[in-house]
Amino acid sequence: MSEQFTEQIYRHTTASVVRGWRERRGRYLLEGTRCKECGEVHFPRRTVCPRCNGRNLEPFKHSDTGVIHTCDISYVATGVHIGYGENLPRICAIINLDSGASVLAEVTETPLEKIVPGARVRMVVRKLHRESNSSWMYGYKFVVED
Amino acid sequence: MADKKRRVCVVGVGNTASPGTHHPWQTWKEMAADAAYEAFEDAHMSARELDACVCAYHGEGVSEQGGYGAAMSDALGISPIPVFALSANCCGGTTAFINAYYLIASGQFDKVLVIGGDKDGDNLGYTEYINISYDVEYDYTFGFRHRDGGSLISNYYRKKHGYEGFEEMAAMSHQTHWFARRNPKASAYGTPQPSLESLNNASSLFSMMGEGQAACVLMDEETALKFTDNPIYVDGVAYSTDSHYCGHKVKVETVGPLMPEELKREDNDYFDIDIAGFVAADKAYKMAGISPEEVDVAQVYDLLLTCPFLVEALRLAPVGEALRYFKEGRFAIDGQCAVNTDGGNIARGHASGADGLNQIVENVHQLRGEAGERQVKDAKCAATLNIGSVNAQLGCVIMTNKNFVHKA
Repeated sequence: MSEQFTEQIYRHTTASVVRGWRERRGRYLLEGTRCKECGEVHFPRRTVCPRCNGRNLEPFKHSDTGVIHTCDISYVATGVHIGYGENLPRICAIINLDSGASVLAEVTETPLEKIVPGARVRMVVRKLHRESNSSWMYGYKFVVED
Repeated sequence: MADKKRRVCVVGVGNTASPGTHHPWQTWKEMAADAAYEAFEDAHMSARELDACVCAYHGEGVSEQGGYGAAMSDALGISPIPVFALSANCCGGTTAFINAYYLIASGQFDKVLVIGGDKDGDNLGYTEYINISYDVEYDYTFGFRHRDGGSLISNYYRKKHGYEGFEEMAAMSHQTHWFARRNPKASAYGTPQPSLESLNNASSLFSMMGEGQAACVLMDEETALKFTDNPIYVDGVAYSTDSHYCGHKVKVETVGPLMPEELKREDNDYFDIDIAGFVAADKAYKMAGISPEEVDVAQVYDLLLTCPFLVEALRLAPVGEALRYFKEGRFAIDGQCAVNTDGGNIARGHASGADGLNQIVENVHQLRGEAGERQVKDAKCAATLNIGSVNAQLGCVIMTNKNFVHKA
């Protein structure tokens, strides 16, 4: 894991700024939704509850701690991936949050041998990549707690 | 309702060779015409006899052709008949086939062309666009694509079901390569068979990515018998969907109250099975009135470990056992049910929108008994199960030939 943040190549399509801005509470706070009818919690946020099909949903901030369910450490760049192509190894993990939902996220700033199923993790907000309009995108990643 | 539906048959099939290779000298329209006209010739019909067409492509952005239906209609010279365009990631071909089935079964159309394909090398932004065939608001923004999801479920499956090394995967890959060496249209055809030792790694499960088109002509039984005396009957079709978001697969909250009873688990952990696949396969078996033991040959989508996921969804092996069955040779040409007899994505090649139709083309060849060296002896019933994204879109098609009788 490099100590220094290396600048990634620009993404060559233009994303809608509004589309990213709408999801800011999810991306920075892990805010999803909870169904007022059946109590099911969701992440990402939903407008219809898949369990009871209720539409009476409220914002719900998920806990920022959880456990790695399964993970994959890839040493091969399988495509220019919104600038992630040269940031290797690429680590993806399914995190079971303590509040009940599961998220797909990157594990960062952790020695590789500690990235194993069952490890406790904590959410952090980090730089993701740079859009072609030159603005930086931010979002959650996870670090393994000792 | 069921008795009012008309019986549907496959009358002609065609596909372009080497779907796991790029074809820089051809446009997607030329490849579509090659596949479609091969199917017309196979069906002994002319293009102008068609009543409708359903076509498939991988997804928005990847095809770099908007208004796909009209472009296809013009490319094939079949205007002004209706051409419906569908997109369901790698499952597109199967989805188009299933929709064509409904068009005919309903009595609205008699002769329908199904065509699907992809031309990823033509798109400057392909590696970027392919990623939007996934959850876009989160996963795409965070730099994940559905292949990452595939790696995660594969890792989990291996761990949970006790696969330490790559021995079983090598056996599966080796068998698939063996079939491809006997299929002149496979990308790996004519190249030396890789040794078992050289496949003993994770890369042996990667598909050959490329470009191609595949096509089928479907007709109702009465019309079909005017064109052929050996129609292949489509007995069961089903299509099911689930969430693109990989995190939703852990507890399958997305399925809600429709979760099949017998699949429910105490620990609520469903990351190693394909719920939507089970749903599609069960529906198709029920519609066809056929049991899994009666299937002689099956084609399933194989990339990473989707092959065992889908073989298990087709109930050809218990959950967690499919790879061991491959190693024991139970899915070889002389096994209980031959799997991926055309070489699959691994060695036939993977042209996204064409995959589902390439599977059906192979099953038709097998059921007609014209598959040559890779012919499964006496094949009478064939199944395909195809997948799009991470267990998100699943299409199942079960076909029989006229010699099929239920096993006692």
